[in-house]
Amino acid sequence: MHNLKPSKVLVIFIFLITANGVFAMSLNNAGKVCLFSSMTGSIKLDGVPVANARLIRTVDRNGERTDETTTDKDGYFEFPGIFERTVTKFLPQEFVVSQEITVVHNEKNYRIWVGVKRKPEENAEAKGRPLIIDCELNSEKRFIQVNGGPIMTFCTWDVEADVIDTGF
Amino acid sequence: MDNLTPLQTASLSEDVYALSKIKSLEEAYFILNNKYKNQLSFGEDALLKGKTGGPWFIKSRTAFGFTLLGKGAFQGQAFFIFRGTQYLADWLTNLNLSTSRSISGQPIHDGFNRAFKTMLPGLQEFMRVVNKNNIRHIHCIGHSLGGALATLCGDWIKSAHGRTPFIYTYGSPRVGLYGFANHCTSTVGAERIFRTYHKTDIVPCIPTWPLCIPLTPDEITIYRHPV
Repeated sequence: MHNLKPSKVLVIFIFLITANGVFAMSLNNAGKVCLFSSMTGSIKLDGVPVANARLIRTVDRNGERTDETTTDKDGYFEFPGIFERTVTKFLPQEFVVSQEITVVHNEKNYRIWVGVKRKPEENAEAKGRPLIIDCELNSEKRFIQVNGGPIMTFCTWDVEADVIDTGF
Repeated sequence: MDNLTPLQTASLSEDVYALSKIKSLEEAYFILNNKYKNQLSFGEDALLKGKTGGPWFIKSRTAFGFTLLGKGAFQGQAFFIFRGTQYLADWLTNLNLSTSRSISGQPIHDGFNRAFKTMLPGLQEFMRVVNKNNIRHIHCIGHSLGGALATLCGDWIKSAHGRTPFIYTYGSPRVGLYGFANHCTSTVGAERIFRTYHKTDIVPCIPTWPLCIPLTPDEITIYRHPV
């Protein structure tokens, strides 16, 4: 009978463990898509941090989901990423998710983020970087397109906008 | 010829997905104006609502596209733009393989026919606007399932309204049998139909994949787009 050397056994053992881990990870992410990336940021009004402002976030791929958070005393807030599993990830079809964030402050609504996410990867809104935004409620709303997703926003973040040429 | 360029139609057929997903028309308008340099405006009741789904399964009624009127250099032009497959119910429409008669009386894919007919009230409304506004050119544009709907829309505009539109499709499935392909090509005109597909894409082979040559309504012009 052929005897396996301990070093060969070790290599086979490590291979099995590693392969199993990779397989488990891929199973864990099977069909998983990111509807809205995790986000941190600050809210200001005329340059002054807005404390205790209510932020309402809504996403909609195939049905609306809403969550909320509140700014701290320095105007900072944090939202976790929103993910979903879908079998449609494996079909040739378009990924289209509407994203909205409304800030409620002094009984006034500010729609600081109205956009559409067109890529299923996390942080697609910042081309792979962490999504850290600064929002001035008294600024002019602007248009930006990132990774094919148009966004109307009062906020700025570290990202290079898509170059747009529609031929019009 | 007064047809649009490949870049213009590719942009519109891609942006219909995002613009029809924005909930407020005012906010969609803001994005449209920024991207299209104030050259386009939404028509009245611009969102085209349509229903997709198989005969026995879930159905989904969603925004399926929109109508636009040209401004400035594009004054006198109207646009019907359709999105493609986005929901599971849309796949059930794609897979409804039986045939039925189009409005022009030709045999076509029943799933596309049913989905198109649910949009007719909105389309008819926009045709009233088109007829009131001295529109010279009508463009029907769509990607994937939207390409099939754009083809049916063009065929309907020709047969029901006597106007001759331009039809531009990207990765469109096969819409009908040869009777439809021949009828659409001869009435709308080969020079007004622009069909683009990638040879490795399975969608242009629906409903007969893998046994198909992508060909509907006729292989007229193949644009080559860098994306």
